[in-house]
Amino acid sequence: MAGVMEHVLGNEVGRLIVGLIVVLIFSQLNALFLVWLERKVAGHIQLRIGPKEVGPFGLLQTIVDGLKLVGKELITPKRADKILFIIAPVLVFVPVLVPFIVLPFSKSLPLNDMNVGLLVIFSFSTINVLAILIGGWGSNNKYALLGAIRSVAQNIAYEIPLLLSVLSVVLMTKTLQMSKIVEAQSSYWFFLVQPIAALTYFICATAETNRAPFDIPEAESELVAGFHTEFSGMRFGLFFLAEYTNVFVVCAVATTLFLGGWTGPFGYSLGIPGIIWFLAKTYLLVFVIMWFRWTFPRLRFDQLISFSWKVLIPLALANLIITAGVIKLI
Amino acid sequence: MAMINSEPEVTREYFLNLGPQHPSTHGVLRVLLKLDGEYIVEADPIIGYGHRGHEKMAENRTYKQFMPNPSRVDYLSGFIYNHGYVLAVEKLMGLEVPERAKYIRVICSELNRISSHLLWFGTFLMDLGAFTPFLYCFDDREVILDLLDSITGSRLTYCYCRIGGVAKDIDDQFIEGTLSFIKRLRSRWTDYHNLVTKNVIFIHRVKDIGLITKDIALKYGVTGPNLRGCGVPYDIRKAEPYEIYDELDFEIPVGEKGDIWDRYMVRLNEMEQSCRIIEQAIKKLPRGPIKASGVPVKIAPPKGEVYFPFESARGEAAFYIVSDGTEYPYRIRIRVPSFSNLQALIEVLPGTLVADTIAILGSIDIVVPEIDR
Amino acid sequence: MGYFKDILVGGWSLVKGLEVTIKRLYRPVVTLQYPRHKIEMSPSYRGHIELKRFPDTGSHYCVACGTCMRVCPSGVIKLQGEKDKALDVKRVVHYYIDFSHCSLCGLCVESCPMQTLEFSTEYELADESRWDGVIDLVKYFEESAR
Repeated sequence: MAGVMEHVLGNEVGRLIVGLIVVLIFSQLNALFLVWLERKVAGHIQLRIGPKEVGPFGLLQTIVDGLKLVGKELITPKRADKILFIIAPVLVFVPVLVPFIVLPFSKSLPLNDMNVGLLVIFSFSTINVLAILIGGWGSNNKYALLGAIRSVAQNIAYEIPLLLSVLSVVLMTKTLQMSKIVEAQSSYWFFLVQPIAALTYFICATAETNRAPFDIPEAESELVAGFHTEFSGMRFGLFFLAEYTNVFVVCAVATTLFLGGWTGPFGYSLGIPGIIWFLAKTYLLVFVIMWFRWTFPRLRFDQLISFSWKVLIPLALANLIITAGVIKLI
Repeated sequence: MAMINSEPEVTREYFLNLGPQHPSTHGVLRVLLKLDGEYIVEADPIIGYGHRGHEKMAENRTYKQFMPNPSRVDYLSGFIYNHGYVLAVEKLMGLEVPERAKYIRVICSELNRISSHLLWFGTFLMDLGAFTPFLYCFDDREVILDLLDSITGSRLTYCYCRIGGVAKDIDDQFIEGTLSFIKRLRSRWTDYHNLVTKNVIFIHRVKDIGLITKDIALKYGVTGPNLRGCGVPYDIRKAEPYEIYDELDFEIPVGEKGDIWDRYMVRLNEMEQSCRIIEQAIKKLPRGPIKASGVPVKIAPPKGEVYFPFESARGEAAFYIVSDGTEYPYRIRIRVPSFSNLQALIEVLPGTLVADTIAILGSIDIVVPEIDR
Repeated sequence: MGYFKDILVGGWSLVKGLEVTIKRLYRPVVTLQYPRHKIEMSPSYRGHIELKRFPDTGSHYCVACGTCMRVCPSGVIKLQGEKDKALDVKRVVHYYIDFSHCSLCGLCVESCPMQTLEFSTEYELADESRWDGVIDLVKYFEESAR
């Protein structure tokens, strides 16, 4: 058995296939876990317990909910654009799985450590805007269209400071390869030298994934349910899972860029394997994003856009210029 | 309704129905909006989806049998309406109510006012997108509901005031519970101010939006915290005092401009003033009977009419009773504040964004079943 | 300069807000797991009405006078009595209330001349058919004896 495993893993293609299967399984388990975590965190902040009946501590609740969604009827509105309507949930879910290939879970674990890893992650995570627009337009529903339009404007506005803050880190490490960025943080983590970039990245990440307080596109109390009003059953389930997986990916990138990936603090690993450090830091950031959702009210749409253009972009630009200047001088 | 009868043509503007079934319209209210992009050009509220016929029921029931009804008109200030109805009939009959009953009724009315404002606070923030303060307010409100349950027997719609007094006496447990509740509520103010009032996102959503100016308010008959938010210090408890309000010392919080922020602060301060009223009333609570003596079993007020206004949580509510000398009233008309408050929207909404519409609708604090009665 | 001050003050207010919610995270929950833990209703809670049992006779005093039936605003009560020829008093035989229409006003309790009605503290009344709101008070009285 061990011989077969070694043979498969030694072979490049075999390694890739096994890795893909593991990635798929991990991303599904992760999405299930995050949905459960969100409900528990929401419950305890609101002075109640979250799910507790199904399974120990309610852990099987998400699976049961997923089964319920699978069993629902897939209703297509009468004058909706059928092709666009069917493509949208698929288009939102698949590109979110690609970044898992390049995330540096530990020293030997990025599945395919491409030397443009960071670029791959950001280019694939932008496709979800296209999927939202397709879904909103194809629904033939005023509420959905309003939600989709808002989502496009929001994502464009927040993509810029996101990339600017990432550029500051790339300037420091001079590489886009994820594992090299982590190795450059072996003595100190980058958020200590780039606090503004870290904060800007985190805020933009919350906005990119359409989470509160930036969840205008799916504003529950204003537009019924925003761009996914018309999607029922597993189509809605795919949007939902894609959102949580996206949150994980964005937090994982934040961990890699600013919190040192799989290294311990100041280089001391304290005997804990790298993957545990990575997952712990990522889930801590995910918890913070969930904490934001249940504390703050929603921003109004034009305030959201003006916040990005008037506050975040100048800050990120200034940070970039200062970083470039300091690197040139040192 | 002129919007709907216009000829269909291709225009830049489109209609959106903030329909009777919507997560934020506090009841079955329908607002027909004419939108230009995201800005509102015209707004037309349409009511009538919840008509239950309370005033018709009043013609076929005796004064005593009508008692459960006023609570259900506005179920969030149920006690205040029950109290107001009983006061109107007592004024018509010329009954004198013992002091202890008056104090008990005022204490319970003010508790009800606090619970209504707490619920408004929670739902208003839920409209804005913050889901947690809703749960915190309900946790606080639960204490009030338990307190009122221990003496009246009901949690939401009360039938406790009787013509001539109250049904049951209060005991020391109620008084201790009320005082400890007031202490607990006062310790919550810092939490609410930190979580909501000082929050920069909330301030940006709320300042300088939804200006109900003094002219608009006086033109449409807006009353309650909406009127006090634009600077007019009119409160029926001070202007035409009833029961024992003239013996108690409290202030009327007043705003400046009439935007959502002012209305919000007025309601929060009103809760604090209600706490003050309750404390003073408990201190001054006299001993004595709780029901007037000499109240006839068959209540048949003399011929005449009475208009009795009182301050509900939403504004000036009133009972107008016309009696023809028999046991059955000839006509009972209930004046509800939400009907007039809603009409100010026709002038306030044009020019705002859709997201602001929800915030403004939430800040006026209407209860739609009381509009339709 | 005011621009930076706004950002800092705004950011600090957000942090204070976060502090409020995180404190609630580790406080105990205030909810009750209903079917497993039940709370005691306060004795003055208004459930449906029931016939009061008096300690001196061990029974109720209802004489089927019909005052409660006439005073009820919703027409909820239906009763029928029968004269006991030997003792020359009327006793109630059938007493039905349709609780699904009752508005818990308490007029029947107050207007009963024998003061034999009182509110029970029953609240688990949900059942499958709409006719389960009809409660037979005499049978309820006899069953509560056991």
